[in-house]
Amino acid sequence: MTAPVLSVSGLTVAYGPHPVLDGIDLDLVAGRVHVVLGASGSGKTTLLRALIGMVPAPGRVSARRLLLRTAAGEVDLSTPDAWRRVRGRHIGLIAQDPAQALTPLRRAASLVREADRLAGGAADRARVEQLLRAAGFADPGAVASRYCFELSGGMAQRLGVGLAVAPRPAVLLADEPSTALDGLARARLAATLRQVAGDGAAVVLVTHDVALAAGLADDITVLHDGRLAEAGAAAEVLGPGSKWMIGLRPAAPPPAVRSTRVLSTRGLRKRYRGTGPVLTGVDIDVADGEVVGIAGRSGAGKTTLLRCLVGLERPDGGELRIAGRTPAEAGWRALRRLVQVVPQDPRGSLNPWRTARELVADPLDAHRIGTRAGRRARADDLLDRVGLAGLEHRRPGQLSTGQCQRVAIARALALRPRLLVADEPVTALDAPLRQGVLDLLGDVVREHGMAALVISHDLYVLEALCHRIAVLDAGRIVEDLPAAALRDDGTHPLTRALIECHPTGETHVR
Amino acid sequence: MADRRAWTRAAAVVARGVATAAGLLLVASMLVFALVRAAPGDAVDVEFGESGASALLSPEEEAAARAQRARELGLDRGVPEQYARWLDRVVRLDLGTSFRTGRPVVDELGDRVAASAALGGAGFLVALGSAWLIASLSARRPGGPLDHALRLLSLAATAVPTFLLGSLGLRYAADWFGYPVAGEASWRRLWLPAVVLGVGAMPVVARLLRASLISEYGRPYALAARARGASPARLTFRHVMRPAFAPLLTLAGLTLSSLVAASVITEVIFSWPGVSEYAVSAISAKDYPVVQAYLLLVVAVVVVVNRAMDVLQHLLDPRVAHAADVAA
Repeated sequence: MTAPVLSVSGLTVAYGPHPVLDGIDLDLVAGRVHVVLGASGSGKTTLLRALIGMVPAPGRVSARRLLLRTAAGEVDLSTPDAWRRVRGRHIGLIAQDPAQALTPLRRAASLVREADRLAGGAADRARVEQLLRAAGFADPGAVASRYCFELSGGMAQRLGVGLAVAPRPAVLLADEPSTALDGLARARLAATLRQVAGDGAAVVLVTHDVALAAGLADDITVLHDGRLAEAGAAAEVLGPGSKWMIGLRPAAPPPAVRSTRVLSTRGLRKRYRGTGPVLTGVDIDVADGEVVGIAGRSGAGKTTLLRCLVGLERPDGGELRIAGRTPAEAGWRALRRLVQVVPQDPRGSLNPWRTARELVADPLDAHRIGTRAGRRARADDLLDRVGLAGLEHRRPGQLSTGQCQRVAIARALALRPRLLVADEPVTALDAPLRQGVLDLLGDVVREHGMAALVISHDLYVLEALCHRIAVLDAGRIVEDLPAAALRDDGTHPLTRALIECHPTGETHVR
Repeated sequence: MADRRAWTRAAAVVARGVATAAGLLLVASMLVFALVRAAPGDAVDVEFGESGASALLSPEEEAAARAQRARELGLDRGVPEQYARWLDRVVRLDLGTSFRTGRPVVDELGDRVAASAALGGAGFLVALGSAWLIASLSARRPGGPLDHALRLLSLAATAVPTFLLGSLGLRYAADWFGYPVAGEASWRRLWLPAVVLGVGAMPVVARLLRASLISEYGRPYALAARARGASPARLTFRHVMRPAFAPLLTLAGLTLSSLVAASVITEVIFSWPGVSEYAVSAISAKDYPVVQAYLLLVVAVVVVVNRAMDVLQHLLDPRVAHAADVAA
């Protein structure tokens, strides 16, 4: 075995008296993908920050050894100056949310030029074009002069990865790079990481995406409470029956469906000023008590569809009926009582200053339902129902992300809606928490006999919850099949691609 | 491509701005006209009181003389009629003649507007420049010694009243740099009042910019830029400064307006022949045409500067325009 590119031993990081990372040993070898797994709070993120010398201010870092081997010789990474010299050039980072990780008011070409110059490149016009092409932009001219905030999620992803990879760093760190990605983009990212490793870099992938990890990892380190819980070759750590596989198996299919339609759209269209059409004619029906999934890659129009369905966006054309009535007939105020949303980002959707009880009672207050005391009691019941009994006085800052999602679900249930719309309900959660929230969603839908529309790029999530799965592409539904039949009968290329990215059963565990 | 869009939007903003500004000026002129006349006493009272003429005249003669003077000044008519006549002249860019000097108000204010604009503009540059420097230094390490020192400096700049800073500045600048204490408004005399004005306006901008910078440093994109090897200075000036500064443009606009149109104390201390100082004397003399013209000028400056800042914001942070699209 060749000498490791980056050797770390006895790495300890503490913000207060208790270390967040305690005595971590890690050897990163060129050409291998090293996956770091761990629940939230296990120290994954801190480890990554320590590996690029950017532990935030009050943090104290100590290590017996932090040594980087480059072509030019060995670098001892014990001083901030040493870190500054290797950062970007020898150690690159792919950030978690690419859209957030690009300076919004800089143009794409300007960031590429800067990255190249910082890495000692020529940074001229031809070089920028070449790098943009390498990042996967077939037409560099079209993207070069755009502000980064104008890039779509997929473009930002490509640019972010391109910027990190361009200097050909010896070590490439990736921080939960797949959270914001749909199946296809995730597959492309996996291919890129594999290629970077193939070109001779050591890749460190920090993730809770076990499927991605299983497909890529050569070595795996599992962190628990800041210590190494397990470390070794991928096949050993991710064996069958590992707790890491929780949340990836489809659950039991939900119950019977009644025939009245709670939601029905015909030819729903929407475009934003300055962009192409986002929805080009969506036909979708949801019967009472039915759970329908909308699958699609990012940019397919999933979120816009949702915004149209709940009245946050006015469609340009087509018909929308909720419980048989159009918004024009019934008014959105009345219809909103029938449709409630479980949002994508549970923490961001909760007002940080309000307690769990106030948050859950909020829709009841807004529609002035019952007495004040009655609303409070109902909120406590709902919190009890979602497994948060006794936490009604906590504010979002004192709740975990999983608990925040439970509060959001309770809030969506408060009005006893007939249709629940869930936008990527578990994307923000760690694998071990996902199953719990999925079970809860399935249970409440069954119990209340309400219909649900679940939007996700994750086929596993949809299969776990839905009767029927519709695939959205380029603003229209291209496939609409019972969930059980999708894998066998789906014919649209996008459906096939989605299925390929989400293999069943044991196939993704080697 | 993105640029052309931004410019089109900016043009639309300007067009809308001109229309609103005209309406706003009309409403403001009515208010100004009514308010000026609502205060007790008028120019005739002031003239007769100051000249001591009432002591020499019999009550009948005085009443006749007063009526005669009021007729000359147009004060004998009803307020609505006075307003109509005044507005009729104003739309033809005739702001009337001063009660006191008999010279056209346009001439009297004209020279002074240039002096005030120079002083306010220079003060604004001083305020912005120093705020920018102080904010970027103190945001670098929040809670560090430099941050504390600069916080103290900002506090002191807020706490010391303009008249004190101005008088002290005048005394020492005259001793040390041979600053010409009296004389015409000139570039040589501009820098000191500009510094005094700027120091007074700096702390608010500096504190807000510091907070804005600190919050931008915490954004994922700042982290990513550092991870790509950006030095602290590059991070601040090439990545973080623009998004951090854009939201402060509104405040900057208000600051600029007040520095141009309402720096009475500084103008008096440095005997700078600006509009504010002149307006104060006009107010005490009940010189209605001058006061009205001054207040209209203030409204116009505020409107124009605010609109300019809106346009600038669209150019500096095009995300504002996008957000407006979604909200529309």
